[in-house]
Amino acid sequence: MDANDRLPRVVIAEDDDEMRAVLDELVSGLGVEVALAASGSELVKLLTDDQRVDLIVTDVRMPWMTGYNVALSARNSGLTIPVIIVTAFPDDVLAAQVEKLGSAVLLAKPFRPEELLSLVRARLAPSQAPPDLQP
Amino acid sequence: MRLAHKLILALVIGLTLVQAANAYYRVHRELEAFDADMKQDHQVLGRILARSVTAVWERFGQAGAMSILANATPTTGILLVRWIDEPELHRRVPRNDRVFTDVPISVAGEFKGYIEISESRHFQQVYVRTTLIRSLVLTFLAVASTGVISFVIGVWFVGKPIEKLVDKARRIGGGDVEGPLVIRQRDEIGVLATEMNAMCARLAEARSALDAETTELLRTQDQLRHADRLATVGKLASGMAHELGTPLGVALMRANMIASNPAVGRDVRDAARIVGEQIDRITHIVRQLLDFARGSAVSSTRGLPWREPANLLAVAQRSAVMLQPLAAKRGVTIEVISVENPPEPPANEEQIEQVLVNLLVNAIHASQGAAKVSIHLGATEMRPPADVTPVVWGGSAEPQYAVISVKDEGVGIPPEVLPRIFEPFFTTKGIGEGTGLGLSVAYGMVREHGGWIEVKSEAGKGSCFSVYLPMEFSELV
Repeated sequence: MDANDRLPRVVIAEDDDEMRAVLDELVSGLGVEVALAASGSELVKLLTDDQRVDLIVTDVRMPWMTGYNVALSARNSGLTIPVIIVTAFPDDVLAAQVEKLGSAVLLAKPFRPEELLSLVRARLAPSQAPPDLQP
Repeated sequence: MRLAHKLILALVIGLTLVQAANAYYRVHRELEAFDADMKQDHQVLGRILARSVTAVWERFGQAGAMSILANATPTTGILLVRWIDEPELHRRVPRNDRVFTDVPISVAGEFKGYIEISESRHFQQVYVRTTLIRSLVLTFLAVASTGVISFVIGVWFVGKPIEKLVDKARRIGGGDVEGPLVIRQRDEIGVLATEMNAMCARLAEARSALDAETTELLRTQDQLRHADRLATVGKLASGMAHELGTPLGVALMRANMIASNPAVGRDVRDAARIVGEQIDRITHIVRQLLDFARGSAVSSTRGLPWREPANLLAVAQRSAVMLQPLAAKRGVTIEVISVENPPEPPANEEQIEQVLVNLLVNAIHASQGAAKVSIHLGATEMRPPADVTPVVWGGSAEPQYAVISVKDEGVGIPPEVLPRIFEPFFTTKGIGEGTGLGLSVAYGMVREHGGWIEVKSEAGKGSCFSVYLPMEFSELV
């Protein structure tokens, strides 16, 4: 089985249980594989696993390490995975930081399901397209 | 001792001295003249007597001559004539009471003796006494009249003006620099008064400058306090908004998931949709709170073009329609009154609508019974109040503003509450009726447009909130 054939894998990091559950449900509904992390350290663990990750959806404020810091570390380690950073407090500083991160987008809480889903779809589209096009 | 009195005393002493010296020299001179006259008379008398005595002596001998001398002596005792034949008697000590003149007599070339003529100085002494008394009287009169005159002059030209100066100096010391000192004298006192007035003018100037500075300082302090309060409120608001974000997000998404789930019944989906809408509303409020907390730094409408002219009439009508149900419930009618060509300032319609809704809600809450709430649209040219951040306007001295006023006939705002109504979380409404954020959010939005809100209120008669929006778009300085 080719690596491209498998489902896209999305990592969702969120410390709030209810939020994590609803995000899981929503994103899973797109027919992708979802891995969950409840803290910054769990997210780091998922990223350092051997398994491939196509998209990170992460909250900013989390125990151990903020989502932004994890994403920054990932970039510094050469990982170019697209990131959706969810926050309840999108200030100018964070907005600038996220923009500098590259292939990252800020989503302000609270948001509608469609807002998140369209962002996820757009980020996954490039990797999703090849399997569809292959004979 | 007062200055005038000292001057008078000095004058009197001086005058007395001059009078005394004058009297002394006059008496002295008169006495000398008297003596000289007397001597001259004695010489003349002596010469006549000598001639007669010598002639008689030659012809009748010494006895005849002596009898002539005896007969020549007057009886009054004032003038005395006698014969002295002993030369040593001639060298007598001068006396004060009499004047002596000795005339030598020689007969046939032989010295015989002296005829002594002496005269009492009685008249002289009488004259001196009279002169002294007269001088004393004159001096006394002169001193008295000089004293009176100089007292009057001293009081008039020195005492009174000095008193005025002292009074003025006391008033300056007490902090009263008003009312210039009027002394019409062209002397040192006049100069002093002029200088004192100039000093007062400078003091008044300095004081008014200080007052202005103090006022400015107090105003700045007040603004700082206000800003500080806003910052605290901002932190509170952002903390709250932050904490609300996640649970609201969860609720919103859950509601939407139910609403779009075909497996559940239609009524459940409808209910979920309504829950979603309500959460949307809460979200909206939370966003506003967040916007308010961050000032204009990150506004939900940031980046939206404000350069587009806003249709204020449409905004006013929309707000009126939106609040119709609330107004109707309280028996209040809302009407929109506009000038023929309602102004269309560059503004964010959504925000202005929010401002109007907030003002209208307050107006409706303030109304009692079948009252009327009216929205007036107009335009004006005026200078913005000093505390409004100056808006850079192009050229015209008085910038143009669109004015939207919301007027009610309600209870009015008590004067002591008026200065606080734009403070965040300040509310006079009961719990559950208002957050106390409405007016401060409205004020913030209007300020973001470079405008301001003016309030006029009279207890029992109603209030009028006027929103001023600049007709020329400009960045906030």
